[in-house]
Amino acid sequence: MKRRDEAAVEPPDVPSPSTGVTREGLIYDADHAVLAKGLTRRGFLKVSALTGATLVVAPGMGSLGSLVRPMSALAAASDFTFAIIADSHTMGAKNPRMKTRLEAAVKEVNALNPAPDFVMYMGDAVHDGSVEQFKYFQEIMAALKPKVYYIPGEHDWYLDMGEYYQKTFVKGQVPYSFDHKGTHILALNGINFNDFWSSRKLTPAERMDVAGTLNHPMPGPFMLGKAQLDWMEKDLSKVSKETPIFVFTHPPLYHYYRPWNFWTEDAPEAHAILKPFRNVQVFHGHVHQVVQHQIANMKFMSSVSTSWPHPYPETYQPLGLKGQMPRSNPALPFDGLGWSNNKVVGGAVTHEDVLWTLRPPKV
Amino acid sequence: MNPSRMWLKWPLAVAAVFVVVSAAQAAQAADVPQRKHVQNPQLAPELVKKTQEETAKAIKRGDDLWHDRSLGTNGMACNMCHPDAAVTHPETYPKYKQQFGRVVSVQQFINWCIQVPLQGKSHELGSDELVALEAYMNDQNRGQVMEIGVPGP
Repeated sequence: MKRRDEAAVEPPDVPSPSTGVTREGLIYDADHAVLAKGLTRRGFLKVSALTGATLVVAPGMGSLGSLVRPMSALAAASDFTFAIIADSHTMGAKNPRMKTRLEAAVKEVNALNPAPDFVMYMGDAVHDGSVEQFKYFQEIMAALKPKVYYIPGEHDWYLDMGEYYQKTFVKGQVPYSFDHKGTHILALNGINFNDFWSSRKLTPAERMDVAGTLNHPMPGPFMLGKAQLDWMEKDLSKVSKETPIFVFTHPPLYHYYRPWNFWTEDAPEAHAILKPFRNVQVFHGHVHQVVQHQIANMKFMSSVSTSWPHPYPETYQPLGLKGQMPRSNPALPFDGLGWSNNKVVGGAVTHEDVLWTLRPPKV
Repeated sequence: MNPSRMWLKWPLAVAAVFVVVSAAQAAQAADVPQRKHVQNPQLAPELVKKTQEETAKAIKRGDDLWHDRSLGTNGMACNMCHPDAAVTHPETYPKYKQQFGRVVSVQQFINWCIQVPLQGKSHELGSDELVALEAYMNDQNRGQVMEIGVPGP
């Protein structure tokens, strides 16, 4: 939302119409591209024969054909799939809806055929970082069959500074990296704040509350920090420039919207490190919405959440971002939510948002 | 009210200034019908002060309630889905809401949000809480493009 005392971003010349529904009941996005069955003008709706789920292949990446690079052009990356679940914000037994939604994602991922090689959990597993909430979350996630990798969100971190989350879920420390079928994967800690709590003598619970309020003015922007940038540089120094690089981090790894911390302050430094690589795909959570961006060789893709959708900020159009999802109806428990399935072919990713707005899960 | 009729009652010096403005307005009025009210600038300063102070207090209270996770029972707060009161469009109410199946006021819909997404108790229309929440929403949305919005399917 616009802040009056802020240097406003230039509004677009023509106000874009809202995402909505035509009289015929078709869902359209802000570019008037129809998302629902029958009129796939831009061709990004697809029905999976395997799961029966309706998949929105996220737009903004051109046609599917252009994604698939010739195998010979890339290092020997073999094909695989992985799923992403993000931002479930479970709050314990007082909020059964959060549980139902995460369970639905777990069930749908388990039903994928072929099974994904792994699931990346994008952070904000819980809302208040407490052990009680983590245990509640863990019980739900225990039903998930594929291997799960975890990165932290700010809600997982600022009660005990990531101790429990790293010990229990990451089973190590962020950042970390690994190779998978010819790709190199970076799992970052994207939610570092400068110390805003010590001088103010905040308790851990107060620190968590401030860090966990999206638009709180106190903490400043997220950043990777110098130590992590150095780690990235060192880690990638051993990797061939032809190797596809997949980066996972909680907030967008670019400057999207500062008032809600859709932001990584030192993203330009990270871009400089990633620039020499031919094929870089960055995945992030935090924004609870479908949004895509591209800067030079780097493609940025969000993950939808299983908790609640966020509004699109005013910088969406001026930045030329893509992939707006239909406006959600808060009366419907699955609207604006979902998870994503990602198919890697020859090192290039087809990212498919399983948007529950279009096909709510059966519960 | 016809502005030119009101100005006749004013001291001549002031009136002379406004005649020029009025003439300009009249010229404009030929193209576009003017439907704006004219604010009397001679408001009592103490009333202006009181209005600003009391309204600011309500906005502040609304800001607090907007972030208050005890407004409901399931740990949710307004601010989670609507940071800075985004996509609330308070200026477009009263309007038809599918959740009610009829036209409702903004306070009725705030109550709906408290009861359904927040799983809380409804408040009396006109209560301090609902007025404060409405004040905050309006304050945050001033200057926004008026957009009634189309709900999802």
